[in-house]
Amino acid sequence: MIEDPLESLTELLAPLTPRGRAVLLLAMILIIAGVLSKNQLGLVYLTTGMGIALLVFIERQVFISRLSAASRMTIERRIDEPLIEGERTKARIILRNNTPIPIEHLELYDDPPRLFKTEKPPAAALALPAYGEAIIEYDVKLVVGKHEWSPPRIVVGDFLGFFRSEVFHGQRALVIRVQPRVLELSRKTLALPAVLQPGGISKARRKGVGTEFLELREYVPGDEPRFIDWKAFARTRKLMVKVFEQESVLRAVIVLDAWPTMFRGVIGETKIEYSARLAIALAEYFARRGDTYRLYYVAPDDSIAYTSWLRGRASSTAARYFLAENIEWSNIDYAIGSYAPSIRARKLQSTLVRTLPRSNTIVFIITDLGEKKASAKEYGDYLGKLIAMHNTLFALVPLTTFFEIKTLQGMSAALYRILSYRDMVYYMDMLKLLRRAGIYAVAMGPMDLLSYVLTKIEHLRGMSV
Amino acid sequence: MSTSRFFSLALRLGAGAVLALSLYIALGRASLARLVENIPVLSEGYPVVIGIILLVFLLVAYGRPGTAYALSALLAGISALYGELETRYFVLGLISSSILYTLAHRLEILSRSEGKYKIRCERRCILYTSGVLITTYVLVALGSVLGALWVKNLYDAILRAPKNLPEPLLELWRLVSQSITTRLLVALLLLGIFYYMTMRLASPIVYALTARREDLWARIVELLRKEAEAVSMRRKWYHKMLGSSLLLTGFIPEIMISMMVLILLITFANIDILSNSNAYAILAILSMPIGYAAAKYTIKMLTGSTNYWSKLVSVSSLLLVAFIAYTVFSSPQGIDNIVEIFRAAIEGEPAPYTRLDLKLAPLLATYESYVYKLGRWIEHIARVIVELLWG
Repeated sequence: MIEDPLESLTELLAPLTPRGRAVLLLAMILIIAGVLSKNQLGLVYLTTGMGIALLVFIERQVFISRLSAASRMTIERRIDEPLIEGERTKARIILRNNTPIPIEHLELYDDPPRLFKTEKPPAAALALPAYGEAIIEYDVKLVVGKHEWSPPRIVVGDFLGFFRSEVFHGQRALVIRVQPRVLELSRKTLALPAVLQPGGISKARRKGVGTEFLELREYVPGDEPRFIDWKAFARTRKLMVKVFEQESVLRAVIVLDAWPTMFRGVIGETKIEYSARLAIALAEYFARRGDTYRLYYVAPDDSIAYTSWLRGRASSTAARYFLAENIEWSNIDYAIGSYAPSIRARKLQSTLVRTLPRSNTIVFIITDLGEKKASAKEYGDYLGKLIAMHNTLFALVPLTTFFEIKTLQGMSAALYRILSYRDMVYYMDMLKLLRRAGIYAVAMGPMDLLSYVLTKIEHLRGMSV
Repeated sequence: MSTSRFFSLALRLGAGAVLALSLYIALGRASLARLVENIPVLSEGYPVVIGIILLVFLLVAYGRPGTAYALSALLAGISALYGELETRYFVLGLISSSILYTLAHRLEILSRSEGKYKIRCERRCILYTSGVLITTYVLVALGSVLGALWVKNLYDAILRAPKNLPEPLLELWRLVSQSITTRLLVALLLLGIFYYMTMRLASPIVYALTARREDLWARIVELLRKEAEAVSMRRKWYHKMLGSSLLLTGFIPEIMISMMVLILLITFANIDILSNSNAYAILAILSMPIGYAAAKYTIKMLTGSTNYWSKLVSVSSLLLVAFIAYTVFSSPQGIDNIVEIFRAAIEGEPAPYTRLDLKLAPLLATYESYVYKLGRWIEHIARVIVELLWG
């Protein structure tokens, strides 16, 4: 059946590049010149014009075959794990041609999540052989949270440059979860009684009778024979005893209250990222100490997610994964005026009351309160009720001023301090409102607060430092 | 500047240089002079034309190849209209320039982006890749060149008059074939046919090469099943064609009747149209579709079905019998001139009572004898085919 000529013409013209159109124009002009000319030369022009037009028609079929081959390609994306924020990781895209048709010109444009940093836009132009494979890789710097990674754009062209078209694959976006890294302790604050571990968490554990195995050491007279490890003796021919950790004495809750204002700032140094690192640092600390803890995440839309009660060294992985799953950068509504702090505070209070045991829980709330005094008042009113239930509340408030100063130096930093004095006064008033409700409120910046918090925790535990 | 960027720039400059040089050579000094003489806008002299060629070079180097190629195509086309273009150099230069630009574009992407790649290709991959590439580009080259030559021969053959044609027809043929409209229509028609041919030939090959094996087998099985069904139901294109031809044959009584009706109407209306044999010929031609359409519509209305071949033949036969009966009974009443007219049309003799244009009498006679012979051949072939297909 002969197709509609207009439809055929539209189909022919659709994937033509400007070069292809110019060549087709040349063909038409030569054909017209051949038709108009009455001498033998006219036939030459006509033949040439016809030849060029036929070249375009045949090349189009070649291009369609390449397009079909590209549409049957398999595309696989691989990212080196573990996915930890701030680290440069290798992203790989593997293209497999499953047909006997080679693709001479293929362009790939990848579109990582907008917050991820690459040195240059990730793209490649290559030739993919028949039944061959191409692996494209590049480095990308990750940002904490859950991100959608769109499938790459694939564009196919022909070698002569007459045709070009995008291939639609129907591949779904990949969801990746990047875990926060652990906050490091600064060397200045060595207020804790143990050696710093990699990752900056102190290992201030107490040895004693407990359920968690800590280490093996050589037997000394006076040790209880029931703790001798006979398997180790068989191995080493030395008497070794097992050392256990003292059981948990603390029950703690870490609440990451993610107001939209927390997502502002330079990527890598935003309040939410810093707060996530702090939350994980605390989780790591509690995990290594054998304490029982729980994480809560209050999203910008006031929804609340929380983990089960966590305990043990492996629990910090669950904590990391929880934050990686819940921190989402898309759809942040920066219209802070639309938020009602009272609703948020009430929701948080009711969730904590419902899920916490009756008393003796230390609650760490990491929140910037939307940088509004009204929020501080509401939080004080609602969360103060938890204090009445014999819980201890700490509010760790990251302040924008401290984060912004970090990016400035010298005179600029000094000037900024002067100009932001009023903001500081405002923030201090916010903290006063929280303290009035009995909440231990501390302002924090990207400089180390971790040691202060850990010191407080050890103090509560009954250790003196 | 990175290596990729350097090579990309070098290739782009090369592409521009190749295009500009090929354009300059193709235009040649003689045609440049003529262009300068004849086109008012270029009357400033060679510098303008040279300027355009340089502009083409710069546009390609700057990354606007489409505009450059369009401009050079226009310049070459204008030169061709004046009959002064060396097409070989220009076409080769254009294609080479385009290939170089594609390579430059690829290197440009690599230089501006972050992405290292490696290709894995084993024995099977190398074999297929080299085989398909060689085959493809040999076919492209041969297809374009041979196809162009074939089109040229066809074009020539269509427009050249056949040798045995009588002189008046020969004159008519020459007149028609020299008209620009005819030549353009033939050229475009041939182009359209070749476009359609490449599409119809290439599509199944592309599908066969790129489809998954299981999809391919399923499609082949489905096509075979549909083919078998169409043959058994007699719905193939050759059945339809045959059916149409036979229908046409079956409609001869209707055609004759419609012609008779038209002639009678003209006679009663006292219009002296039949003195002109051209009008007579037109009338005969017009009566065919009118009679065919009238009979087809009638049968459709009466039977309500599309497969009406047998019904049509029955009705046509009835009509023929009725017509014969009418002529037999009406001839004593003096309407034998109608019988004579129809006998003349069937047997190929000139109509006795029409006043013929003396100049075109031999022409009409020849035309009628051709039609008569064609009719006999068609009938003979149709009988053979019907015998073969239906026994």
